[in-house]
Amino acid sequence: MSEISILDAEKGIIKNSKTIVDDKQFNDNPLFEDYQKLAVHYEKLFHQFERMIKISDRQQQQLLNTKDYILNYNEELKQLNATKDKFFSIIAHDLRSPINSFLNISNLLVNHIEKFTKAELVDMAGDVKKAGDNLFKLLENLLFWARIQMKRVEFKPEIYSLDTIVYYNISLLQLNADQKEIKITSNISEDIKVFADPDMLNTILRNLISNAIKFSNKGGNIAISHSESENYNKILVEDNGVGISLEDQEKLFRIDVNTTQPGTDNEMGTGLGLVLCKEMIEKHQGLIEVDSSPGAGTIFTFSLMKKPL
Amino acid sequence: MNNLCIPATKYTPEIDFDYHNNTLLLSGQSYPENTAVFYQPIINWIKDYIDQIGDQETVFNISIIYFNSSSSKVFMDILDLLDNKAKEGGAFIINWSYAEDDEIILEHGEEFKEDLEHLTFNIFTKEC
Repeated sequence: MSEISILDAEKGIIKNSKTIVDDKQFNDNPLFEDYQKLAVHYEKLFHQFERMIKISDRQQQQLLNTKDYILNYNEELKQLNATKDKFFSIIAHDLRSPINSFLNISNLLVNHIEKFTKAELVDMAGDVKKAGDNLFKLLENLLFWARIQMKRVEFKPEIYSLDTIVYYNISLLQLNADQKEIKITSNISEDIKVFADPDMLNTILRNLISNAIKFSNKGGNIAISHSESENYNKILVEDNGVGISLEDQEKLFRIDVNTTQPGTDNEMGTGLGLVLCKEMIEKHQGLIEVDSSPGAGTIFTFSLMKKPL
Repeated sequence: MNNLCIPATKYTPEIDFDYHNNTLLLSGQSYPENTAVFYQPIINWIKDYIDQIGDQETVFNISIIYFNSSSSKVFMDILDLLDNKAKEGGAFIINWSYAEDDEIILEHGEEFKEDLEHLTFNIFTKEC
């Protein structure tokens, strides 16, 4: 098969001109000499043209690559800027209010401690502890998230039994669930394995389960289950709680919009938990999805590789 | 005959043609607003140069980062001029240099080298 060329017409002209120049019957033609020169120049120009097309195409490809690079870079910068904004807004707002309540209570204690009954003091101490716990949780999340942003979190995935990790995280949160009389069950069998970083997987599960507790009503149920595809294991965390509107679902994983909602028992969130989960799951090349509607409970599904590819 | 020196601008390369030492330099970017206007005096100088040097050896260093299509046409014309001169006597050594990671400029060099028969065309990486 002959080579396909966009310059066949030009090549045809060169071929014809050579046939004519080589044909002795035209030698005596008064235009022969001019024609011969023209043919030589034409061929030369043609070669120049061919090379210029190649150079020009290559230049354009290069510009296109540069453009893609800049667009990507721009997107990354936008993301980084949103991250920075979020960071400051968390510090300005979310961190400020728990510290404020902390200070208010301690001011009361310092200035008026003798006016309170013991029962009131116990109450206040409880409030201080609650504010402290919350503050600590927020700070932990914030710092962990900042470390991820600065790419300072080690990512060391290995193959683990999913059920062990799931039960461990349930046990950590059992107390919170008991307070609201919520039942947590898992039907993940022992042979299910995932390829994951243990610290990150713990953080993901802890966040999803504690969210489920937070948004479940008293006496609710939380079920952890699993399904699988060829390369991935999917983990489902399902509750029958208050659910999430479509509008809010879109904001859940976004760092640039603050979507923290108080829980059914007025538990405060950080607006960071799900953002963290998404980042960590994506680091595992997995996906996180939400399926919910108001009043109908919520299912968070995330996927992890069964083994390294 | 005088030397020809044109400092680089954002759109045009540095030109440093040294008649007495037989060294020519073209370095930088080339996408002039009007390519013909910028290169006409340069082409004229080269034509005069070719007429005067006899069979002395000339080194032409080209170190170009980016150029537009009309500049590539001018480069080909200049190289053709030199190639024709080399055919009649007079040696030309073209040194086409490119930054180590810039394969595009390397490939461009190979493209320019094609069709030139009588001059020496070296392609090598620039030392950073």
